[in-house]
Amino acid sequence: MAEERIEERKWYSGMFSTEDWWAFWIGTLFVILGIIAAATHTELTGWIIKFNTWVDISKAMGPAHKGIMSPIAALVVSYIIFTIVTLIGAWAMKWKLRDYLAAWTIIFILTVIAYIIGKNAYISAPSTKWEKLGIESGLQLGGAHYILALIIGLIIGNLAPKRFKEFMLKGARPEWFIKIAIVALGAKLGLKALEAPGYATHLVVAGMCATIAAYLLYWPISYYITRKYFGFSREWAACFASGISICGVSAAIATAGAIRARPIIPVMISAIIVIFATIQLIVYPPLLTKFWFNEPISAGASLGLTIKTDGADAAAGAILDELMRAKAESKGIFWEEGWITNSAILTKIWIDMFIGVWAFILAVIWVTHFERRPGEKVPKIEIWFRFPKFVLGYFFAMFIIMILGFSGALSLKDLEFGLKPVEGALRKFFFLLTFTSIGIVTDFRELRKEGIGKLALAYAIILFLIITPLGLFIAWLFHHGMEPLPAK
Amino acid sequence: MNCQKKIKKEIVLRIIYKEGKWMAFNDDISVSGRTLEDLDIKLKDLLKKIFKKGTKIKIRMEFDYNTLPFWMTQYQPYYFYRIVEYEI
Amino acid sequence: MVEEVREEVKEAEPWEPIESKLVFGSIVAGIIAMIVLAAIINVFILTKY
Repeated sequence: MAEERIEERKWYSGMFSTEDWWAFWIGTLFVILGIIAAATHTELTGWIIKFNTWVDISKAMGPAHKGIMSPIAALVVSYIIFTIVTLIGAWAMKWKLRDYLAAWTIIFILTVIAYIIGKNAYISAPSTKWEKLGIESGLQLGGAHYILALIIGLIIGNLAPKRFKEFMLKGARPEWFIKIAIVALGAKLGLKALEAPGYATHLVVAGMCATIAAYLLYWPISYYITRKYFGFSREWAACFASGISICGVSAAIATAGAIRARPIIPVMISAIIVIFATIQLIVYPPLLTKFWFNEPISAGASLGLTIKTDGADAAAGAILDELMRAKAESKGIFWEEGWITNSAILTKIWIDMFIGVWAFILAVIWVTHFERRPGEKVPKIEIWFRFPKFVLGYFFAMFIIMILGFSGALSLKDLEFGLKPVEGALRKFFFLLTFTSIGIVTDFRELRKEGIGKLALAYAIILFLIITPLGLFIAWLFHHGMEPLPAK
Repeated sequence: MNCQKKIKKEIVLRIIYKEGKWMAFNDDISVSGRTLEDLDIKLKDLLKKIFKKGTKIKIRMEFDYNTLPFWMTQYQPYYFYRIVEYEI
Repeated sequence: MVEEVREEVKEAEPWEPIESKLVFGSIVAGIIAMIVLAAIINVFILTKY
């Protein structure tokens, strides 16, 4: 019956067989390449493809370090290297390589097209940049490339023939792509911390505190409402509460595993989480920009507290960053790129990290109170098994850069030379791959399935009436008054 | 593995949920139950036939993650890993 | 799948005291954490902005 030998699980199990670890490996590989490039001044990262706002299409893209190769060469080299590293991961995870390669290639091409079109000056440039770009009018749709990539993905996910969609799912891995990008974002935070250590530390600490408060309030309220007013069983209510309160699909699976729930439960809840996260990703950034422009960091942090998947949260953070900065620029204020995105991701990362602990607490409660099974033990190492490993990459990137910078081993200028392409061009490209992929995995037709209605109703009510208002309040309580640092 | 002759104190099983039942198995044994309690009882009954009285057995049950939909596995790499201890 | 959901709705267990403890304990811990941590953040960090 068994196809392969069943091995006992060890602390290092999954190091080369899960996307979480592979996000760590790939993200860290590029950060290390960046550090070596910084130390040796070699072009180890300068080849990474970078997309620009353009009027003349020949300037739409190019290598991160100008002039080291032609734009097409940079695109081809980026495709080859990104393909090789993700293929190695896919091979180690025993995926069907041919399927992954084909689907990944299509996603790569579609993402490049969305990036180029969306960055057209007439579409995306704010009026403050028209003169510099030599144009007189434009749509000023900041972040148009993100929305375009998402729309392309949604078309595949919702309108394409089923077989094609199923095929594309083999390469559409939004969580993998965003986790790689988040490790690269850790490098950005490290570089920024060298310039403004106090501000970066404040953002990290405030994000952690906000998360603790939100976490402890969201879960019990959601659990109570679903049990009392929607008549969910404990098994459903616990998985649902974790999904909507903590870190979405990841939390629903972790909790289901912890309380030994049948896998059908997280499967159904996850389908809803992904759909609502996409709705939030589209709706929240423009609303926050319109109504909460005076609190940009609070707005960013609120995304991390309310949008439940890493991919959608980071994606929403990136859109909010663009929209907020564009609005600020129209008022003559110039903020540095990335701080709002970082505030969205920091709250989310803390939430992600605590899931293992929360799942362990639930496991103990379930085993000791609800489902006492003779002889069953809850091993503490489950906390580690459920710990998001990509977070290690994020903090490794941040701390190693801070250590190298503050110790004087490498100058800020050197570090920027090696790491800017990673924390900038590579991160942004993987963000955009995430947008395309989120669209592909989001299937609104799931809502039409019989039996989903009650779950979706409960999810919508709790998400929009409890989680979101509370998340906005807590984000404000812990971040009010903070603004992104001024652009250099 | 010949369990009849060679008494082992640790067993590793793969566990899945299929068609309304939990199923735990390795190359030598296979049991199923509608609930985990049910599964544990059946497993214990089976082990009684295999091992001598008084044998302490640690059973590790790793959930087969490949049975979850592929699109979901990227979000969380782990479901559960049950450890159950019996004395026959 | 549909049956699974229907079955759950029918078979929802009665609310138990331990659930009250879990919910109440978590909310109280959340409120205390929110007040204490917000006070710390507001005094030591946010006054700088």
